[in-house]
Amino acid sequence: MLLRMPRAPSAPLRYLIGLVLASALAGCATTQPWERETLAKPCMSPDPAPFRQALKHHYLSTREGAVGGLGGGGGGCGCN
Amino acid sequence: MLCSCLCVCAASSGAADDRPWTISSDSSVYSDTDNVLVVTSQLGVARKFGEGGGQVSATGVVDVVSAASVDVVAAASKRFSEVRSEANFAISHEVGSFLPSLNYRYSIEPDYRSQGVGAGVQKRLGGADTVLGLNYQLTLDTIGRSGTPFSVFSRALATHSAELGLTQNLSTRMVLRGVYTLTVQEGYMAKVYRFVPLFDASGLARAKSDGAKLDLDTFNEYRLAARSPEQVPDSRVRHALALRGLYYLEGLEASLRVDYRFYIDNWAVTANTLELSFYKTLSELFMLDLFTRGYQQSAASFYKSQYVVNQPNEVPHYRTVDRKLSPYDMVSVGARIELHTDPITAYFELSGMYTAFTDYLFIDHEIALVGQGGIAWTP
Repeated sequence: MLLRMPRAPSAPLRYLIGLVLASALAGCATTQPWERETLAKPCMSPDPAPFRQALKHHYLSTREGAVGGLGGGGGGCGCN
Repeated sequence: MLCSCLCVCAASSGAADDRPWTISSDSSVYSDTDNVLVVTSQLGVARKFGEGGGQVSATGVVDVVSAASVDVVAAASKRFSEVRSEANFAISHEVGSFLPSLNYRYSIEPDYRSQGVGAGVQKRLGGADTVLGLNYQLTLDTIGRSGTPFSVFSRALATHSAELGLTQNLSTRMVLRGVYTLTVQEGYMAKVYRFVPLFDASGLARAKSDGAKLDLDTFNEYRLAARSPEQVPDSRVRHALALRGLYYLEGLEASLRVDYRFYIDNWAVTANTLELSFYKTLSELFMLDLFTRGYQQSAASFYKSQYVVNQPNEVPHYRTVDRKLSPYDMVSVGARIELHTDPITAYFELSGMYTAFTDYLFIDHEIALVGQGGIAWTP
């Protein structure tokens, strides 16, 4: 059998999943609009310059065997 | 057509901010020690709809590729050059706390056609601190052979990709994002130009007695006469789980970004990607981004650097010489300087990549340089 099913998540992956869930639970913590000056800075955007990033991902995709994990949305000043 | 659609959508928006348009041009040059040169140019136009994150955008991309890589040379082919053209169109518009989006992409090159459609939605949960995103993308590819009409030879590949992401402002200076992507591919995933050399025990014994290491220069001397076209499974299920953390360093006027991605698929490839970035404000005009990226992956279950058979007419069911199915490690470092003036932003980025192939027949390492620059105008 040449094709294998994915194994159970390794220890680092379990920690990663735990961290994602922890971040979801942290959703009850809120920042007020007047507290988001820092979050609105360009360097705090999770998706800065999408056109530039698209070009970068284009050549990375030709060199790396892995795919995915790029999307998201939100963050920054909280205006999607 | 894309431009007219942009104008119609833009005209329909009554809530746009004062300067909603952005026109940008980006270019990159990629060159590596495997004799591959790629020059890419991209032109993009975007029009925002107010502050809710909605926008309409169109991009056109042209790649010019010139290659004489080991894939090409090992198949006894000469250097080739070709042009790939791509058009993208995307639209999103805020509806209450939802941000639905649609996108379409079409690309064409002499031996490959691809088109994709996607739909997604982002939803603010509670306040603006938590955003949930869900996206689906369908890509339909038609793979051909250079010099042969698609009506004579073509293979199909369908790619379904679903993505779930959660972005959370953890504090006034920290953002965390988690993304899970499921990608399912069905169809032809080999390359029509790749041929896999086969060896038998006597050939390997001869190489050993000659003191020859099998590589790009020597493999032809010791392989069996027949070369089989590459063949890989026609179904692949791929999982990626990624985390992005951003933290603002108040005293330094800089942010620290950490990205980690774990990847696994049913071909037994596992990969880890780690990227670090230090993004600093130098002055009112200039910003500097220093970044490094590490990538490591294991081999596919059917990958072998040397396929050894017992009989001359025996052919392994699955066989490949795709380096992206071999085990390898890659590290890259780079820097980007950005200029931010009122209507214009510009940047230049330079990065270098080193790849170590730990079990690949043709090469054992590769060095690549990428230069990328662009300018954006917000009239």
